[in-house]
Amino acid sequence: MSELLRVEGLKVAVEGKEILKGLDLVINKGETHVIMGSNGAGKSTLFNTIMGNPKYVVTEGHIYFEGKEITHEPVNERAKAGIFMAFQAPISVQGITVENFIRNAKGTISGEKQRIMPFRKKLHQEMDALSMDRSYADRYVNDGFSGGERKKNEILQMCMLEPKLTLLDEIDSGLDVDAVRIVSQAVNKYHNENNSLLIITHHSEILQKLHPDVVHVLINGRIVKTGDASLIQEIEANGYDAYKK
Amino acid sequence: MMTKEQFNELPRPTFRWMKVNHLELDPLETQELQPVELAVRQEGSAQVETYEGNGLPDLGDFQGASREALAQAQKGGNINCRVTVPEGEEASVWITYTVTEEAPRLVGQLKLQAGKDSRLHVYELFDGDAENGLVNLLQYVDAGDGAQVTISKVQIHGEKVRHIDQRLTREGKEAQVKFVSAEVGGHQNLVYVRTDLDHDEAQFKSASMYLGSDDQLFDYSYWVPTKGCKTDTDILTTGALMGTSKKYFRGTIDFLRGGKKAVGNESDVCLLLNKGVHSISVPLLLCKEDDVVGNHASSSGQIDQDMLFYLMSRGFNEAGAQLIIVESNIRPVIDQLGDENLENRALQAVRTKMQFCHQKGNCHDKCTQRFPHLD
Repeated sequence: MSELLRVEGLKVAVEGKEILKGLDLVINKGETHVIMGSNGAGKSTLFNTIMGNPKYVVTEGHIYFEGKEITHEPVNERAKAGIFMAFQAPISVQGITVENFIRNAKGTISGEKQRIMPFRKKLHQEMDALSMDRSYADRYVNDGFSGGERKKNEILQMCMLEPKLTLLDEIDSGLDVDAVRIVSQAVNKYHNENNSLLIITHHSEILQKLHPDVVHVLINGRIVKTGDASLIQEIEANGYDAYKK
Repeated sequence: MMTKEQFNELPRPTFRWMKVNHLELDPLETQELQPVELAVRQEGSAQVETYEGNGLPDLGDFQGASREALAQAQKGGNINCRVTVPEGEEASVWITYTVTEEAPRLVGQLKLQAGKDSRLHVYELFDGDAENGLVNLLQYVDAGDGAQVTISKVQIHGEKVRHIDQRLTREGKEAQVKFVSAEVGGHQNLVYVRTDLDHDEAQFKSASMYLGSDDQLFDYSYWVPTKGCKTDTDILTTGALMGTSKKYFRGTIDFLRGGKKAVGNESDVCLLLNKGVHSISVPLLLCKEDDVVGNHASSSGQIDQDMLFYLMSRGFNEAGAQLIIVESNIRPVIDQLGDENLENRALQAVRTKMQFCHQKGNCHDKCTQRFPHLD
């Protein structure tokens, strides 16, 4: 399997405070990785740094995507390269409809003008798969959406933008049982040998449906253990105390 | 020394040191008005006619944008027009006011008379540019009982025009008057609105957007005395400022004695895109009646960095993401204009301005390529 993302010795500070303290990570194409860790361990910091949020300052280390260093690339260039982040708390953008927003984003990322009819057809297919009412396409982005609807909208964008690496930041938080099933199905349908997933979650339920290949335990800014899916049960049973020592 | 002209005086002045009681501008030199033929189109059963001189009734204590501007418009001018809709009828009227080098000054009145239970929608487009250009329009709205009057306005003048829009509205029982405005062009833009809600269950809604650049000035003044019971007032101004542009908002909802169960909301939102911009907001609620609900809000700030990050994570570059954020502020107003052509003109003007003005020095082609193609 060819390498998609490589993170080497990553140290990241936010407002002068070091959060990530030398993190290494390799994700190959087709793999699903999970980052587990207690609150404040640095999981969201890792995601924001991979995506290029300027609030998170890389003080040391490197990030490579498909062999090319992107450590200091702007956010939009990373998106164009094929990195997508599904936000834990998606922002609402009044004035731009969901359809218009995704169509323009797709056009910007792919560099190809999106013809309206084929685009709309695919959009409706994906919305149906996510059990989203098609009328949401004409509503302003996340404006007045419930927490669950916002999360579905993130997955809808993922399906439409077809990234190579998707960062799912607590995509299951705020979702009811049915919504977790629907979202998991959509992610599984999208996931194939050419793209990869990196997931943050505090719940094992969604992981039972997404079948992770690799599980990392992140404690105090460092990955302290990497293993297979059996690690999830171990953490569920014993918590993180054993790794904090 | 030339005496300054005082515009948009607060109906109830506050401390002088706050410097918000009025705006002072140099008066424009006088020029003879040239004849103008207004572009007017209508649908429905409105009677539309032009006239000379003053065709308005006594305006009472209406002070206008300034004493001088009111007197000038009251004399009548070269753009006087009267629209009358009979009782129970419906009509739409489109009027274009174009400033040209041949006729750089447009001064006059627009009298809207909507009979009982009638419906009138007036669409106004202000465009064109000329050295020492001036538009001074006094709009008088007389909405009979149960009448609904809407004025949708798009102002995309060039950068040399002083634009003065003075409005006096008198509403009958259960009448509804709505103003939707997009102000993008002009050098100095002065909007003075006075709406008298003297009768029960009358409604006044106003939604305005602006986009300032260079040394543009936007000065909005609203005064809504509410005397009728269960009246409803809603005022919103929202926009963004670039360069060294300035915006003033003076909103006064005046709950007078007897106006029980009246509701009034006013809100001013301003996005500051540069350090040199200036936004002043005075959303006042005055109350002599205790059984009313009044809300006022004002917010101004720089671009939300979390929103910028979210948009850029979807592939938009910084300039494109900023455009989306500005549009997200103003689009809800533009969408209410109710005329596709006007909406497109306003949006096009906003996008052109963001491309040309925000990053001074970048050539147009370069800027255009960097922007998302938003429908």
